[in-house]
Amino acid sequence: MDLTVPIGTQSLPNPVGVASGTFGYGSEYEKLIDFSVIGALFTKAVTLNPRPGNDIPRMVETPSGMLNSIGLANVGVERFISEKMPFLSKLPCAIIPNVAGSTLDEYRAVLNRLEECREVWGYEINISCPNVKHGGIAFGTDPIIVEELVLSLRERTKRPLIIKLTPNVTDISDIARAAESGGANAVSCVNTLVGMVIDVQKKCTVLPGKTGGLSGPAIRPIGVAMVYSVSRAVSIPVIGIGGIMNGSDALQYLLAGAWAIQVGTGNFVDPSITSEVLTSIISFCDQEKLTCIKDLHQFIR
Amino acid sequence: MPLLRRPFALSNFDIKNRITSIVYKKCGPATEILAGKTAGDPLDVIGPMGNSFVSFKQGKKNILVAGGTGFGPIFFLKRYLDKQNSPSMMVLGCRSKTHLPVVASNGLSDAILCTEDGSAGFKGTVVDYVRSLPNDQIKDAVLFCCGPAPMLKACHEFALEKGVECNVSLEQVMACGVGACMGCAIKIKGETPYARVCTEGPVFNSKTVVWT
Repeated sequence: MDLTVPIGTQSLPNPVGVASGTFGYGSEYEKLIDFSVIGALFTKAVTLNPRPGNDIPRMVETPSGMLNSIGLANVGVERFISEKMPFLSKLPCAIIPNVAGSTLDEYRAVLNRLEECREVWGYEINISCPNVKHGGIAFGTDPIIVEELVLSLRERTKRPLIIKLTPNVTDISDIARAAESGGANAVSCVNTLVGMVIDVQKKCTVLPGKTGGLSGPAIRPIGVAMVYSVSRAVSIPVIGIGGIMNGSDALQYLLAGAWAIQVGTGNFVDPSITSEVLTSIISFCDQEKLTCIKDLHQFIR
Repeated sequence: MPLLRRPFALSNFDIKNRITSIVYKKCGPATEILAGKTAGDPLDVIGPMGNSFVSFKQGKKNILVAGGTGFGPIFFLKRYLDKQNSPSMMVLGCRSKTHLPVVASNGLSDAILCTEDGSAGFKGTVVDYVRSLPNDQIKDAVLFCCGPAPMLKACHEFALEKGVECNVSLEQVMACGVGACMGCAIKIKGETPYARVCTEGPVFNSKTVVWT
């Protein structure tokens, strides 16, 4: 079957990606996985300057999920290029840096710098991190700002621009439409949901920043519903994210209208999960006599 | 049902006989499941990850200090040092005799036991015991410690006071265990304010750690 996923003028080799923040810069998983089964590697968020990240503890397990507040800890764009790109460049999968910033200028500066890297396939624009005070989610909740940001980045690159949406809004489709109007080639749907865990004995929140981003199977039905809505609101491809732990979970997203998916928290449980997810998608499509990803979209109206 | 993997320190790794072991405490659903396993049950394991106790110096006396389940990696280190004919003293502490970890029968024969209630061995904490040692036993020592955070902090303060090196094996909740998620950070001194327990650790020189 045809596994390719058209995004902008390019296409991903297959619909299974690994989500930003769960796969570092790839090299962390070097000894554990076969990169040839991954369609796209979405890197840890890259900001203009290095960020040390948030106060500790940064994560806590929750029922069928986890709550994190990492705070976009990353090495910054210069070290990303000098230290991380050499490894990433050698991988067979599409390398998609996740670009984050606190101002429009910062997003532009990071993207401008990455434009110089030949091996970058495209960009995922992070307008949805719930764990940074300025930027991140502040960008992702206002359709006017989203459109302005995407327009401004569109002027600077011909590579695919994928906008990562936050579920922490009243109507995610509004934001998706704004991204499409700005010239986005795809949207990733969804980032983590804002959550809070309280230590009853200590009478305080477990995370020092009080709230964090909830991920894992707990959010999967929300992600699937949002992918269903967004894929009907825009005509650009939707990439489904949220609690995918196996092939059947991934197929829920694809049947809901996604063209591709990203595995996030699932990588922590089983680093080689992407291989099983891809195999399951292929065997399901073969069994159902479907010849491309788009064929999966005909069943759920 | 737990979602994530759980990090454990090895207490033995015998490649010839293909045996490895961990010491753990039943303290939640994941360790309850682990405790329900019987011989022959498969476990899915990734490892070993991170660093290990390394800085052994000739002519130094190695003082190995463990509290509770911290006994696991300390026991492993003790056996390693014994094989190297490197002199070491192992001090193990817990609240009372009933809290002693279940280990092989020969496991505790060369340990100095400390219990807070005095039900076995020295009455007091491991740090109380180490403090009771004569100065000439301490001045050329290197400390290797694993246990609860307050114990590690007390070991660090003791080492600082005596001007000796102290290596601590730290614990933190983890998600990926491979250095990708940055979830298991601890605060350290230096240019970068955080280090990952899974990758830069779990063993740190106690002077680099920001103790709270």
